[in-house]
Amino acid sequence: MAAIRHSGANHTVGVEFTGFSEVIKRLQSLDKDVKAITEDALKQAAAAVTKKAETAMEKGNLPARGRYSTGKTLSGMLRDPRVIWRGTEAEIPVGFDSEKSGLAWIYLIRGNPAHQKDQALYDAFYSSETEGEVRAIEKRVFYAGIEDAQK
Amino acid sequence: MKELLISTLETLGYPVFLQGSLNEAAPYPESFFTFWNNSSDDLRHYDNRANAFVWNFDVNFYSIDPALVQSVPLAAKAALRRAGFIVGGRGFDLPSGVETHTGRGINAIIIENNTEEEE
Repeated sequence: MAAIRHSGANHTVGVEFTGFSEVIKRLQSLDKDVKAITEDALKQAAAAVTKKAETAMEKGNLPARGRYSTGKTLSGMLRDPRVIWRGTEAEIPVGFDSEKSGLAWIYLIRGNPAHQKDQALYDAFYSSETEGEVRAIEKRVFYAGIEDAQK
Repeated sequence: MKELLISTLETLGYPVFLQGSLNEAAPYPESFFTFWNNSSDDLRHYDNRANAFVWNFDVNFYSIDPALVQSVPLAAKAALRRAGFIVGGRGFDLPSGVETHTGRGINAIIIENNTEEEE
């Protein structure tokens, strides 16, 4: 079963919604490739989170309307990440590759004593709205897998 | 809820500021908390009205003393939990933006029942 984790250094998205265990059992009984469906769900969810983060990082949306933006942080945003499996748990990273983007994203998401955080970027990863959107996407993909098997 | 957060943190004996409110041209205090309210979403509804809210806060501690940076956020977690906050995990490192200080943060949430009179 996939899991949701938010690490302090970066972020991951997993799968979790009400009825998830029953959906998995149903897919297995229909002989569907649960691994492929899980990866598809995670990739679609990650793409949605990344899109929200990209919007938050458009120059006009950044602090000081992007006057100090060099584009370096955005260039390190994870795009098309791979699903990571640990036994039966799967997750997909979203956020930034610190080697490419540097550490500015941490300041944007957490702020520091002299600078407020960029709330839009924080919300792209952590808000209840994002969590709801992620769950809705994943639920849609999994239930589509069941419908597909029943055709 | 913000007042409860601040007053609880103040019992630990360090000043408490809003994240981003310090002047970067002036030296920071040796040790201090900052906080930030991320959201205060509706939690439950009844009869078209929110009857509870969930408040979500960042609580950050910065210090010139790395030992305090490790221990004080955990003491803050304990104090906040006694005050009714839900605090998970054991924190995460934070850059301070200055060479003198390091930081560590926790996330605290609290549920508030809506006691406002209906209009």
